[in-house]
Amino acid sequence: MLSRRMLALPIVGLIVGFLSVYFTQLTVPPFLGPYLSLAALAGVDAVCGGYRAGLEGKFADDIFLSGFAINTLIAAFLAYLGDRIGVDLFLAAVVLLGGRVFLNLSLIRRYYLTQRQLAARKEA
Amino acid sequence: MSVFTSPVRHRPWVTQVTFLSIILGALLALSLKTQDRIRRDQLPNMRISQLAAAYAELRDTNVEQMKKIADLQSRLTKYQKAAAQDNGNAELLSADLQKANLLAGMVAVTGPGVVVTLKDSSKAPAKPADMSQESYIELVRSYLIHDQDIQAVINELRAAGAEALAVNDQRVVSTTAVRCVGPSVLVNNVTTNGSPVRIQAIGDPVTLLNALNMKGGVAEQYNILDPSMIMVEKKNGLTLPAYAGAMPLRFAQPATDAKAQQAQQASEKAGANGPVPAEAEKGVIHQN
Repeated sequence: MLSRRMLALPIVGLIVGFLSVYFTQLTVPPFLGPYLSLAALAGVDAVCGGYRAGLEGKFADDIFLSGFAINTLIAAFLAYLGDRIGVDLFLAAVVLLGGRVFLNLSLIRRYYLTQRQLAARKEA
Repeated sequence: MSVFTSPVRHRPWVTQVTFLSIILGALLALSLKTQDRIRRDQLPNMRISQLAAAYAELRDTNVEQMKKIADLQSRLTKYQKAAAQDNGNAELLSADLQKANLLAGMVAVTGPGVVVTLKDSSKAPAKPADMSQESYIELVRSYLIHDQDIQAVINELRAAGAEALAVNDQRVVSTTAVRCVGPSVLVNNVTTNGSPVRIQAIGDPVTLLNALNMKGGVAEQYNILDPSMIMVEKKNGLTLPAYAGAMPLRFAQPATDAKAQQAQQASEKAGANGPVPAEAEKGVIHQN
């Protein structure tokens, strides 16, 4: 099924992007490490959200692209700000983004399960 | 929500998500690699204050090392300049250095000389009944070899013009101390055999032998107790090892010209009006 293969594309892209950087000598300065991790988490959240929205048919490209760009930056910036003013905003961002990733993934899972049920019912 | 019915309609969002997935993958990989590096450098296990202390320490060391490098480089430049200006000069320097190394004991030397063997006497008398324990220990002490005995021999050999000395195969240099620690002898902070102690000296064998055996000399005092405690023999082809330890001079520095001159004058004055003839004679020996 073509569309199924299409739906696997983001995962392939993820792997391609990962490998293309993993086998270089690229790193960022150590003190930026935590912020980068947080930005990556925000990116995971954005992509999961986009994927879910796509599956639900509510995908809007402007929201998706701006969400990805701005959320990563804001997450990193908030964590940095928290470090500067002595409030652990890092944790707040991790909790919120982590929760959203879980939520999105569970919705994607539910969607597929529902699809399978529908397909089975159609066959029956 | 029938997604699978018309794939074309959904293509744009999949493409976009894929595009950002690539970026996300790159981001994750970068983050992973950075965290790996941090873990490898053991940075996160330390608190900021510790890090700051370690950093300050390293920076200080760095500054010191930089100074050292600068110093060494300036010296190197000086030598190179001297070498460039005059090859004869460099040769002279090198010869001087060889000589200084020889004198300082930094190279192994070979030559004729004497070997002195000191060892504890086995003839210590049994404890008399009427003697207290303390005075008996005192008595036995004199039958054993101590650092004073070794130092007396070394001093005598030096006075007689020994050019290189070694105690138990440890080269005696300007910073060498000879000490008894328990049953062993510490030379250059190396623990060596306490008895017999072997002292090698390179110099004129006859002079060295006579200096030790002269009347009222070092060897004679053992005649009363046990002559076998000291044994002196001439030997050709002695080879003494080089001094193996480090020789860091932390306090002594070359004096300025004016101060050196002053000290030189004081030294000459002390030699000129030595009060007793015997003293003056020793002075002459030392100067040679």
